[in-house]
Amino acid sequence: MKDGKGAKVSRRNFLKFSGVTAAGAAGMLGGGLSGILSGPREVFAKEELKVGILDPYSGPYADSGREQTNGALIAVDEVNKKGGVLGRMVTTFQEDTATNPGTAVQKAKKLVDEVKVNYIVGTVASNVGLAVSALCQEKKVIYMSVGCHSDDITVGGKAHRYAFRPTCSNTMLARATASYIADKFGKKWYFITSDYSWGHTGRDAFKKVLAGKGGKVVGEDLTPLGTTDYSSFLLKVRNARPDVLIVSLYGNDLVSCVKQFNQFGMRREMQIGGPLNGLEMARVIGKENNVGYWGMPWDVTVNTKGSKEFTAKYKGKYGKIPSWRAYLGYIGMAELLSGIQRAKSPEPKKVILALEGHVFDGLKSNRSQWRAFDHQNIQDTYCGRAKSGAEVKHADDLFEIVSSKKGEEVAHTRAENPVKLEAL
Amino acid sequence: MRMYSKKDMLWIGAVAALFAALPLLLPRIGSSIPVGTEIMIWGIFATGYNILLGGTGILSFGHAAFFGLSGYATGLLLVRTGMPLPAVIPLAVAASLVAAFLIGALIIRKRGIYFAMLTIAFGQMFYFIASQWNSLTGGLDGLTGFKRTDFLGLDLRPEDRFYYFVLGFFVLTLLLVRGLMNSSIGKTLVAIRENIDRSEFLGIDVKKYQHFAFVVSGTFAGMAGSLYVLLLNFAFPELFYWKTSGDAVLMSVIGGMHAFFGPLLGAGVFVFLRDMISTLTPHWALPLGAVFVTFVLFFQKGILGFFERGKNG
Amino acid sequence: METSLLISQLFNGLNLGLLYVLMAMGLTIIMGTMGVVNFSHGILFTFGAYITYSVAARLGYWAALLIAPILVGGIGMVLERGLVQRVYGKDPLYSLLLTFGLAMSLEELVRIGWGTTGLPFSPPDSLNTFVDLKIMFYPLYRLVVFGFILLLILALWFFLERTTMGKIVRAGIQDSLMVGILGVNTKALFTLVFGLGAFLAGLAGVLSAPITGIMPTMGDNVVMPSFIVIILGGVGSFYGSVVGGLLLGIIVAMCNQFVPAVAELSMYLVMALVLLLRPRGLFGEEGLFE
Repeated sequence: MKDGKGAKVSRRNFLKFSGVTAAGAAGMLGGGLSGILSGPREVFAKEELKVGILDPYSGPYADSGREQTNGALIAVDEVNKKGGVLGRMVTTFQEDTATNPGTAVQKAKKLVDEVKVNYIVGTVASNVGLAVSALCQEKKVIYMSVGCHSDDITVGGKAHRYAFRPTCSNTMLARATASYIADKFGKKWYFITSDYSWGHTGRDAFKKVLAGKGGKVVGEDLTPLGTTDYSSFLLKVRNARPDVLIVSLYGNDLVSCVKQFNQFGMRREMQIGGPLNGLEMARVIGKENNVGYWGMPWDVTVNTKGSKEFTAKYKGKYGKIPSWRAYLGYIGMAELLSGIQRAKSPEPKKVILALEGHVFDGLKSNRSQWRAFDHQNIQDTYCGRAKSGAEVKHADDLFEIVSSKKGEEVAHTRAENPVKLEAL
Repeated sequence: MRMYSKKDMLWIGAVAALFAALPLLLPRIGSSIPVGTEIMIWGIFATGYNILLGGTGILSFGHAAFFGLSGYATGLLLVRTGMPLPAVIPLAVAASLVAAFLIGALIIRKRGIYFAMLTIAFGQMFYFIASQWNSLTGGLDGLTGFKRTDFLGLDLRPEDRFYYFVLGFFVLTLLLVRGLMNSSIGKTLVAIRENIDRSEFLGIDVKKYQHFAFVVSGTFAGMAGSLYVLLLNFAFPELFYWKTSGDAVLMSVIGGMHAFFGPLLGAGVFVFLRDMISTLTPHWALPLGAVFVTFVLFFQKGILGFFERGKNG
Repeated sequence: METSLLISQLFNGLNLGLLYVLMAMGLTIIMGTMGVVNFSHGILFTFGAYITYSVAARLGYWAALLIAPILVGGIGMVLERGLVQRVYGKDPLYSLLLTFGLAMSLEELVRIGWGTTGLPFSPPDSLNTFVDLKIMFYPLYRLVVFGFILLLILALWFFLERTTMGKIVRAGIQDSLMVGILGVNTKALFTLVFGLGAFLAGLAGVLSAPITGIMPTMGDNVVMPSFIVIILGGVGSFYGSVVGGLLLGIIVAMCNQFVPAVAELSMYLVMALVLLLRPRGLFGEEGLFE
């Protein structure tokens, strides 16, 4: 895996590389033979604990994918420095989902069938996450759905015993954000929504809060993932004169939309917000255009000892401030590894039991918990305000947390989520 | 006239034997059985596709439409009706056959670039329908919620079982396509490729034969699509994307579109390269594209054609 | 439905359409003259945007506007001399396959050179504001691009209709063999035409970069629409590209206004319909590519 600052090429990949180089000389298919001749690699297998990391390194969510992987590798470093898990060093195997569910399923299959990992950590886009989740259930592999916020991961028929969600659900983000926005800026909203699972559940969660406040939806549009020009939608929005534009967009799509929102001069006419925004996007949006109120699972300004330590470690390794994607990657990996340690066995079933109900330090003010009935990480959830112009003191000073909600206040209740996970 | 020469049977037998043994080899070279399954599935797609490209001399950039249609039909039938696989697969393939027949009837009279563009247009229409009709297809989330189970009592869930299941379709495809190309129909198709005007002059209903080749190749694309979706237990819009059609073209050209096993070899090289190199670097398309360009420029008969020295198949 | 919104959408659609026109004109002169179906047109567009990014970082946007299209034109000429000219006279299938493979490799080169993720890019400061057009606010940059492309189309029309060089190019589109017989150095002409086509694609990339941002797959979003435009307008037809491009822009804008779900589908639907009813597009001439 090509990786500027992150992981080294693992031993196995190196061997594979020599295999492929030889294959080039011997003819592509015939090269398989030289792979056999290059010797057994199973020698190393006994000592290492294999974890698959599956994140987007290309496509519209690539920046986020890189951050999540970087965060996860910090957790691996920490554990390996202390001698590994169950006395075994952790080795990661990284694959690129290309932000595409089809590619992701192929890569997940590769990790499970070829590399024989028992755990997959990662994914950003929820459509990718749901596809990988279904595969992991079938293959009985633990899936840490690090960065997927669609409710469907832990709510309803697609949730299952092998899937855990380190981050917040869309409903948690909406409940932490939407009422703040409604109280402050008005209750006439227009929705622009990315046309897939995450966008849909984000929009629905915001609508629910709005309905509870007696607000009104004045218009809505679905846009395909990867849309670059929002001009014709923004013209419609402006014509509808909402108080707030709620954009359930992420990655490049969010960047394009917010920039064009500014370019069309709409900033002085209405407020903008949505389920998610973060450093890696705000940096690209630019401090002049940075605007709105957004859901955030974490921010570098979270004032706890744990968060400060993590930030320092991350800065030390990668030379920049971690985004909440990096935080999620770290928590997802750290929790998986500590679960394995507590289970005293790499066996997925035992690890699941060790994780369920576990209360831990999620580097936030209140402790976090893996809720047993839906595998949702119940945690503090934030609403962030995007800073812009003169108030930005340095390149990464782009958000300020304006409201923080306890996990139990915002997550689905047992009654709201009657999911029943299968028996092990 | 005999359908198969001794040499044909020998070669097809050898390829079948090679693939029967492949599951023993793949895990030892850092690959896995599903990679072999995928090679055979793309082999079915490309070998069938090449009836049109290499056999008849028509370029379609829209066969992903039939690949995806059958794939989605497979998933939808499993999710919505719970029909058993022995009914699902033929129905799904039949859907592709019908679609290929209808689309072919509309566009087969167009020539050259206009034909190619129309194939793209129809393929892309399917793509956008699949990615936006959320309630039916799952939209960009793709279609999940189904699993391949058993085929007439044979449990297909283990990857190695499914591999041999696909092997059956694979060998069947090789036999059918070889038989077709050996038959008088196949000879006529090649004659049309070599010289359309002369064929017309000889009283051959050229459009009818071209339409036939379009439908047959579309049907094999459908067979591949159905198996592919069963391999992944997942259907997603990219199955329809014009670049998926491009992959089939690429395989045919690299392997050799005028050699019978060319497209299969192309499929093998393509899948194997992607599987091996994509782990090391996301830039696996760079060498692949370069190899492709080289072949178009200098080895228009492909890898196998190069060794066969101009012998047409 | 308010008229002002409808007018805004129409105007915005025309703006989008002009970009398609720019792409399609390059594509259509290459196709008309050499019979090459250039699938690498999209990646030349992408190159235009990325080169802009690199040049603008050092010399500013205005320098990039000048330099990037010329560089892309140069890249086009090199590709033509080195590769594309080898398939002239063969079945258009080969040029299509060749440029398809080329696009695949070049896109990876972009990823290697500039990274797999998107790059931020904004209009130059002087244009990074909006204008009150009474019925709507509209970004100044987009307005300027609108006028610029219009001028460019006029200039191109002038070149093709009024200059000797342009007349030779047009004659080449009609019948390149005849032009050769008449003593024109067709080899040089072809290189020049390919370079001009690439230049136009590069320019479209430069102009788009501040609107949509820059990413490796950005060519994908425009290459198919520009193929549709020339098929709509008729291969080799200057007016066809203009009318087809504007038409497509308006169709997409109207769909986005009334039925966004079919915006992309509609492009292909229109193309299929036009082709089935009018086999050579709106302004196409008999004999090309059949």
